[in-house]
Amino acid sequence: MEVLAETLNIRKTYEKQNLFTKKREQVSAVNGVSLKIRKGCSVGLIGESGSGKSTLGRMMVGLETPTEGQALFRGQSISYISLRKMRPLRRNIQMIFQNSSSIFDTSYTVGESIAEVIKNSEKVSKKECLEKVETILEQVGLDALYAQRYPKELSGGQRQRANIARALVLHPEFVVCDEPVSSLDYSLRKQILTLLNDLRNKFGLTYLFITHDLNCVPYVCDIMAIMYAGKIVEQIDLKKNSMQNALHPYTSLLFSCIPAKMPAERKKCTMESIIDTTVIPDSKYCCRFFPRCPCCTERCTNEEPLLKEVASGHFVACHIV
Amino acid sequence: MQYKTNQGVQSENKALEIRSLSLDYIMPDQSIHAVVDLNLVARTGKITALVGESGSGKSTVALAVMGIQDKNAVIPGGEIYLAGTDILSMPKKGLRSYISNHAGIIFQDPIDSLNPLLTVGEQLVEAVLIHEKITKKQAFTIALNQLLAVSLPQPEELMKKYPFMLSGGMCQRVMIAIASVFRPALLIADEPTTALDVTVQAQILHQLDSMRKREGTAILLITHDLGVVAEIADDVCVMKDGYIVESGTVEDIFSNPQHRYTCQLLAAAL
Repeated sequence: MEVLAETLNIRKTYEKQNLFTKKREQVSAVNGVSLKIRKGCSVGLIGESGSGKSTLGRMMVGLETPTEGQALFRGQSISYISLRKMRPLRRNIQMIFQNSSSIFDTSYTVGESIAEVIKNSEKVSKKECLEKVETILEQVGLDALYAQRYPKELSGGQRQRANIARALVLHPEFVVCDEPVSSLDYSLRKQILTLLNDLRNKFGLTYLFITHDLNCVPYVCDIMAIMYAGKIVEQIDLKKNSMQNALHPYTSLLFSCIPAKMPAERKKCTMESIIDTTVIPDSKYCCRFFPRCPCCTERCTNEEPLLKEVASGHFVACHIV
Repeated sequence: MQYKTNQGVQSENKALEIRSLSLDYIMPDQSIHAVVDLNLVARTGKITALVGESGSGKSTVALAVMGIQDKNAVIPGGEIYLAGTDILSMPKKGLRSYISNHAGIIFQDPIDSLNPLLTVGEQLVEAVLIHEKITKKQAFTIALNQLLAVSLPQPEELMKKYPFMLSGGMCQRVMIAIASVFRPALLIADEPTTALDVTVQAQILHQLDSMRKREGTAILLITHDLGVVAEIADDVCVMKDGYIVESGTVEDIFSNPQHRYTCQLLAAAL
């Protein structure tokens, strides 16, 4: 199938200046990621906070300009183009943001906020616009009456549905979901994930699904990509391989941290490797995970591992695999 | 003077016992029954989980136990026995020091719960000095040991740092260090890991688990995440709309849930 969205060795470095010493510091958020997302496919991007997964997502929708490399949509670069050229593309590339309580303008009703998105990209009469808003609200499982409510009048789950409605009202092809369920109550998560799945089947959407919760992955993702310190360290095609076949030590660490589903399944977590989570080596010529890695060797400290295919659709960047 | 106690009725290992507690929030036009006729026991060395969705009143219970409920909260009835004494029947004077000597609390957002203008060390030393009349130097040593106890690396360095220089998980561990500085009988953890990553969550849960084993602290764990409950809790109380709808041991609740709402919660698990 055709590749819909793609990144080519993309990098993003943020510069921060110390307030007192005026010394400039470079913080590298994304460090050379090449990712291909095929049409109709759903890619899960998993990593801890600070691993650069949100930055990568924002670059793929053109909200952030990369320092190096580029993000492509249908083979066309969206990284360095003007806002005017971006506008016709925008209706095909949308994002579902994490915090549903802060993305709506509090002085607009939910309906007005969604209508704004429609008015931005097509010329429609008021009546048509209203119809579209009501249709999409019903499609995400909200009553059409909610269009007249203000965001503060909705509960967390309803607001997240409205948030999804806002992103999907133009029927985009590619949607980046940035932690869509992590701010929600436990009991609502499954509902929202099921909804995202239904909508994907209905509209033929392509997702980049950003999360730190491995439990969500089997529900919505076809491909799982694990990110650590700005790099993809493991990528598994879940249609061909099981999630449990993961080989990278970091992925195993993430798996070991998932709480048990039943009290009888409790296990001991390997605490040694988790402690001191903030240490990331500066050197370009080493595996970035080695200070935390339980099976680190000499080679890991002076040579950077590259992604290599270990099985069909399964890539790992690790020397010891 | 003698205050109401729950002595005699197997109270030895009950760090916290709540008997038929009700709590209303008085609004200008209405009053909301946030907690209705709630009974709950947190035993020494055990983790008791209070589970429910947002708005079910579980945090209100925590605040009432700490005596820091909102000004518009009214407690029409009930008893809260903290380490054997009913704190609701105690006079206002001395209540705060009694509670702070017997219970500690950690909140959902660790970075916001620390004072941004003071270093970690200053805040820890302050907590030690409130409880004990000792010199600053002695307090500093206690504070340092406290940081070691929550397995934070390089505690001397850490004491000089400000909260914004630490990650969320480190801040939460500093909070645990502060809350447990006087070896409280009860530690209330109000959604301690909701704002944190899975790896950090595992660390914090491990910390709480080792603390109750080491110190014998009773932990009241408030959460909406049943995964966390399955991982470390001993007893579970399921709360809905201010009522406890089901309670029991963690094995019973997970393998044989009775109430319809508990079944719904379990079915919603990923």
